[in-house]
Amino acid sequence: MENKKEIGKIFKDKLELLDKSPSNNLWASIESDLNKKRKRRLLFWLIPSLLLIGLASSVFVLELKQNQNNPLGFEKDKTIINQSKTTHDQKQSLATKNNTAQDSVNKTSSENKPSIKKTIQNSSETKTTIKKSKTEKLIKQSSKLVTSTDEYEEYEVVKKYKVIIRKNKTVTTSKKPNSISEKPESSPKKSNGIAKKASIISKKPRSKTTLKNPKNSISKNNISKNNISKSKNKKSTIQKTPHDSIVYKQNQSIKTEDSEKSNTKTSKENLQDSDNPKTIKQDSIIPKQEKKTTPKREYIEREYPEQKNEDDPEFSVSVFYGPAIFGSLSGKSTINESLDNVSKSHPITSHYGVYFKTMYGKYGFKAGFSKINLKISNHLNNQSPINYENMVLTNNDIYKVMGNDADIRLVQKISYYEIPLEFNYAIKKDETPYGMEAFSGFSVLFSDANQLYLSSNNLKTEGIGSTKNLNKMNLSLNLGMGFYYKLNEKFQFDFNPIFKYYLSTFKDYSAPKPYSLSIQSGVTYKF
Amino acid sequence: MNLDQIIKGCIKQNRKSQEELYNLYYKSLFVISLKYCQNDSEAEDNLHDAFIEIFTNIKNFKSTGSFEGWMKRILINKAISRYKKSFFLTSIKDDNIPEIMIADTEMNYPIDYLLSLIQELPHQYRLIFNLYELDEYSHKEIAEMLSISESTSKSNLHRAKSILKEKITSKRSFHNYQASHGK
Repeated sequence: MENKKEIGKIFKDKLELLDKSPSNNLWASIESDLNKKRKRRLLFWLIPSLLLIGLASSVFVLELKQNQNNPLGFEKDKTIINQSKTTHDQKQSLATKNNTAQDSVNKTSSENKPSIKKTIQNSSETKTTIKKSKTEKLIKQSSKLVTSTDEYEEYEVVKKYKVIIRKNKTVTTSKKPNSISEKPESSPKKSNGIAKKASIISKKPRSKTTLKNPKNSISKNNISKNNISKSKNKKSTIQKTPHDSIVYKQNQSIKTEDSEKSNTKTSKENLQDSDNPKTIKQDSIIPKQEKKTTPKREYIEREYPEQKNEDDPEFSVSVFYGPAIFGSLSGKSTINESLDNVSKSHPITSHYGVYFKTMYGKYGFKAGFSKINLKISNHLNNQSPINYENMVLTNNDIYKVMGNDADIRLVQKISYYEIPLEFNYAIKKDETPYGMEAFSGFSVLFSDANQLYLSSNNLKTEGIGSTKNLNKMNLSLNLGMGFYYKLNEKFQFDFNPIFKYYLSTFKDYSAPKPYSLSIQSGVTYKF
Repeated sequence: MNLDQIIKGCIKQNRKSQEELYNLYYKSLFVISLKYCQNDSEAEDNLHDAFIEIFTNIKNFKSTGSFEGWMKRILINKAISRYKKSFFLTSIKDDNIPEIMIADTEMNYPIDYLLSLIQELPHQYRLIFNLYELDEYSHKEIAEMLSISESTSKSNLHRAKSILKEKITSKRSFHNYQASHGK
């Protein structure tokens, strides 16, 4: 009678001897995908970093412009220029003695004598002088004189660039002592994955020897082979190189596995987590035919489907339009104190724009460009005493414009161009079409409109001027919630209520604490 | 570099460590992938996806368990998610499913042919056969992994074995294989 066995067991026994390798370009494609992932991660941080730099520099430029408009600041700058010029003259002609009081001060300040640095202005002058002299030194070192007059010297500046190219770290085979390749130690290393692949595909005789290094394919396998054979004879030499230790461990694990098999330890047990917390189980699925050399892996360009992983950053762009209301947390007037006790209303205005968002798992950044229109309405009557402080009026008498209307509204309209930068956290993000986010950040706002007008039932709108206490640039702290509904893989509807608290709306007027509430309702497209 | 050092390097996204890890395991994982997939090309794609996930999530590996077990689970899960969408599962209510026996002598075929028999199985049968027979998962575990009932797992395993036996006993199947592979 024939010896029959369960079919599954026979298949298991037979297939344990299966020995096949994937195509040689698999690692190249994995490496290429890993590089793409790395780039995406960099991009994820690059966008907010660039925006921050951009915002910081725009704030700096604006402040610089404001200082230039300030007469006192102008005087100060002028002094600095004069001083640096005189310092420059001093350096140029040390022999000539300048006896003016100004120059003596400069001379001492340039010598950094502490007794002269009595005021802040002095210290800043010293700094500027040093910077100037450094610049001159640089110009003279790397330039040639073109023209020279009594007042100016014109130099042609020659710029030199130093280029540093970082070499890829993965090429280290040349250091291996047992390597069979006869390559020189200074063999060319790969600069990036693409270049490497290109050189491999070309298969030029010259590049072929070079290729053994980047991929370690032949040399490594040969090393393994050598080491395995060595391990039989000389165990003491095995642990000479780090690579050797791997091979040595492999051998050990294979031996252990064989002994374990006899003790009927199943492969399933190997899959389950061990109770030993600190040791990692040695490989039980390492091929048993370790004596076979792994064939040389040649890299051939092949298209693999791009991987979409949960950890990949998601990029999206959104457009939105929604209502906004403006008010003061303290209840004070945003125009002047005389209107503090006047009843106010908050007309609905608009907030619209576009923003880009990158999400990395549950966290992300949002930045964009939008416009926000804000209005606040002060209800006046003929008896209301009005102080014109902070107003620049084109119609001098409000009451004349108002006529006999009982309920007149003095409306202040402010609008801003806004650059928001916000940090997002996904509260609910799963397979369902609904999601929820919380976000917080700040916005830099650039004033666009600043108007005062009157309106009533009889008098529709009559512009009367503007306020003069508004800053050109404002900052706001933003706090919001985001709700969305996914239409499909690419599109979703958004509904984002936002609270904004404005930090520097007014010049020398901090009584009102302005805020706005708006809703960003729109559509998002995911890349 | 030992395995601990390689893992630490991979956590730091060190490309050399990643390559070392790949070189260490790509053959053994490819063999597993071959059994779960329909052909060499799909097995390679599956291995590719698995390695990307391994390198991305290696920071989540807890050193309390077997590292290759962790990698193997990722590989198998990748294969499951690859074929799960096209499942057409059948269920037999009878729990007393008989074992399918075959003589050793009837199995004297090249290993590649035996592999091809498994690869030709419909997706659901192939996955369940592999999980139960080759990787020794229980029907309960398989049921959880594939979101099916235990009885479905049992009946599909039985169906897989029946198909395999049918093909092994049919000489025509082997002749077709030889013809298609030019042997």
